[in-house]
Amino acid sequence: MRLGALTPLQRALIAIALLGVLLGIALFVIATTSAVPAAPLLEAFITVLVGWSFIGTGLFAWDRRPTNLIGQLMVCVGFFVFIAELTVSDIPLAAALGFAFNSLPVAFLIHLLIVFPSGRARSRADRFFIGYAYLAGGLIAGLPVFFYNPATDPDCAHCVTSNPLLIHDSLDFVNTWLNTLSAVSIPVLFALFVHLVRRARSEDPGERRSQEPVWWAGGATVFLFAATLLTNLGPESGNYDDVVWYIANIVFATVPFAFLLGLLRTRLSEADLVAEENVRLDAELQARLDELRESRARIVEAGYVARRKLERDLHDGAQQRLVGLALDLRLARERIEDDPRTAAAMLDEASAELSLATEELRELARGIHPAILSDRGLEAAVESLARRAPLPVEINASIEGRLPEPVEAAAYFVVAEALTNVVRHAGANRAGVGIRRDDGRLVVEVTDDGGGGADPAGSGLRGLADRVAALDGRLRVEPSGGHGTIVRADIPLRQGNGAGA
Amino acid sequence: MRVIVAEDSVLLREGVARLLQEAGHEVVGQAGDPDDLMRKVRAHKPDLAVVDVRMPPTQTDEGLRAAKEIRSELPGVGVLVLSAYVEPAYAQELLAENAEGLGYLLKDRVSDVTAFADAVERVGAGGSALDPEVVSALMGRTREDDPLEELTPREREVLGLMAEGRSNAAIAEQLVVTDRAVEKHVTSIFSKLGLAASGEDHRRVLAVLRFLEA
Repeated sequence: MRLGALTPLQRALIAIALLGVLLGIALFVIATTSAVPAAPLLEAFITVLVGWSFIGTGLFAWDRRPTNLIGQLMVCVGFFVFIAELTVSDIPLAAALGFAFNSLPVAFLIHLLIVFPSGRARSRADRFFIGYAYLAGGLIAGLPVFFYNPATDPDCAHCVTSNPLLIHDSLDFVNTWLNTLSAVSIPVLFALFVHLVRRARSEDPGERRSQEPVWWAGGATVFLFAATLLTNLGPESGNYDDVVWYIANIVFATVPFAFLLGLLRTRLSEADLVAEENVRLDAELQARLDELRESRARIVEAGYVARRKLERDLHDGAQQRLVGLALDLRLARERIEDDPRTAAAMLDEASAELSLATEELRELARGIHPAILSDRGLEAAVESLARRAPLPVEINASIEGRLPEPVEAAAYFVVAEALTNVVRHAGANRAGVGIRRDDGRLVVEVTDDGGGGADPAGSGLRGLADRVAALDGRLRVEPSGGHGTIVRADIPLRQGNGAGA
Repeated sequence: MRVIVAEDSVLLREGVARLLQEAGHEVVGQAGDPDDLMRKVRAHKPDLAVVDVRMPPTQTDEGLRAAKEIRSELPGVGVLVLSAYVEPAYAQELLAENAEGLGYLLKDRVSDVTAFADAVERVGAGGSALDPEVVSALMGRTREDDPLEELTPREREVLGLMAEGRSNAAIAEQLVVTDRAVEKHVTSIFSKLGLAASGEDHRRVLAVLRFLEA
């Protein structure tokens, strides 16, 4: 990895990591070379390992989720584990600092557990525990450093001999103060334990999988710290206290690994997330497909209905007339010699009937597809429509050149159907048709000044909407400001919608 | 009268030709497509070309374009355009600057032999014949302030017949009134619509159509 390819944050994280490594080594050296025999090698080793684990895991989390507080809190825990361990030093100032900050790692840990995994406190209880942790672990537990003189502490025969921060020597005060703090903190820690257990249970199963290790390790650590405080409160029982302390610290040491495991599991569940996203997209696609299938079915159905209607119109109209005509002609033929006058009248009738038949056929043909639309394009065809409309129609068209044929046809039928609706239902005095190109789309608007109330679900408009949707366009029917209705179709003019788009 | 018939349906072409012959005209040529039509028109210089709008190769408006070409190239040849459907817009295109020797009729009209023969005569002689459907579409157009509302029903009838290209005498005959009465109606119409009176029938057609289209 080239350094230049790193972000400033990553460079800072590497610096912190180096600092952590150095501090750990320094601490190990301090602890093992200390003249105070109360610092066995194993303890120093465990402590350094715990610190590094927190720092390493924290930096990893920090890098992956820079905006999430979790990583930073873990790094803090790691560094303060080192600082707290300075109590074993035989350097008076270092030992005093260790004493002052002895409880801070626990405070950071509590904060960490409460805001896991989002990095944010979620409730008032959360904020109370965090506040308590810093107040008790940082301030109240650190205060006695100014009154503690190791030289006068009978429990600390081998400790350092002086405390440079000492203001007033009062072992009684220190003991009372710390015991009171422990007595208050024990129920708080147990409450926190319950709080964390409840939270772990309320997580949904998907979340729980990645968070479970943290809840287990964190909850156990909090529980054991409470137990440690409890045993410290009781009479000095030597090994018993130490055993609890060791167990607590070993569990504490597992916390960063629990985080690591959680992170790995989160990684796994990020794959799950991708899968979930895919499922969502699939569902969307499916919905769109269903919609398309339905609209296609409606188009097919509409085509079927239209053909049925055409068939009926032809049979009941033109064909009926032609059959009647054939009969009339036959009858006229029979009478032509005996009764030429009647025959002539019948022939006149027949040709009148014939005119009606051809007229009907013409109208039918126009309904199927207006010739002027293919011959002269949308504007001319719409003008022709407007001319036939029984109310004044103002046309405002600005399209140069021809449009793709399917678009022209869809736009034409939108105008035709909308004008028919206006005449039939709107009670309007006038209508307007606007046709324009707009950013690669054709926008067709039909407005009227009538009473409104057009039903977009009506079969005519529904069919139009399907027709427009088949071209990836949209048809909307909405009231136009004040009164009347606007029918607006918006059809893309791209390649897919016919040549020359 | 010497006539050329252009129509791609042989049945209809023969029918129209026979009709014309029976009416005493000479069919000097028959064409099935626009190129054939143009060739024969140029060769024969007939009095009239009867042209179907839809012809090969695209079956859209070849006939219309051929008709316009004839009118600009050979103004002496009357053109009677037949179509399965009529559009005022096409009438407009055909008329362009003048209505002289121009007809635009629905194909169905051939079944009314007398009316068709009359139209053929008129157009061949330099007059006009516009389909009643075109005229009624123009007159029936709804306007905000319809100047036609000032006309009496009889005057409207007369206006429509004028727009179709009929002469006063023909209008009188159709409405069963005297020529004098028709003249009075025409004068009244022109003054109500604010149009300048015009002598020749085809000029009158143009004036009326311009007015109706405006």
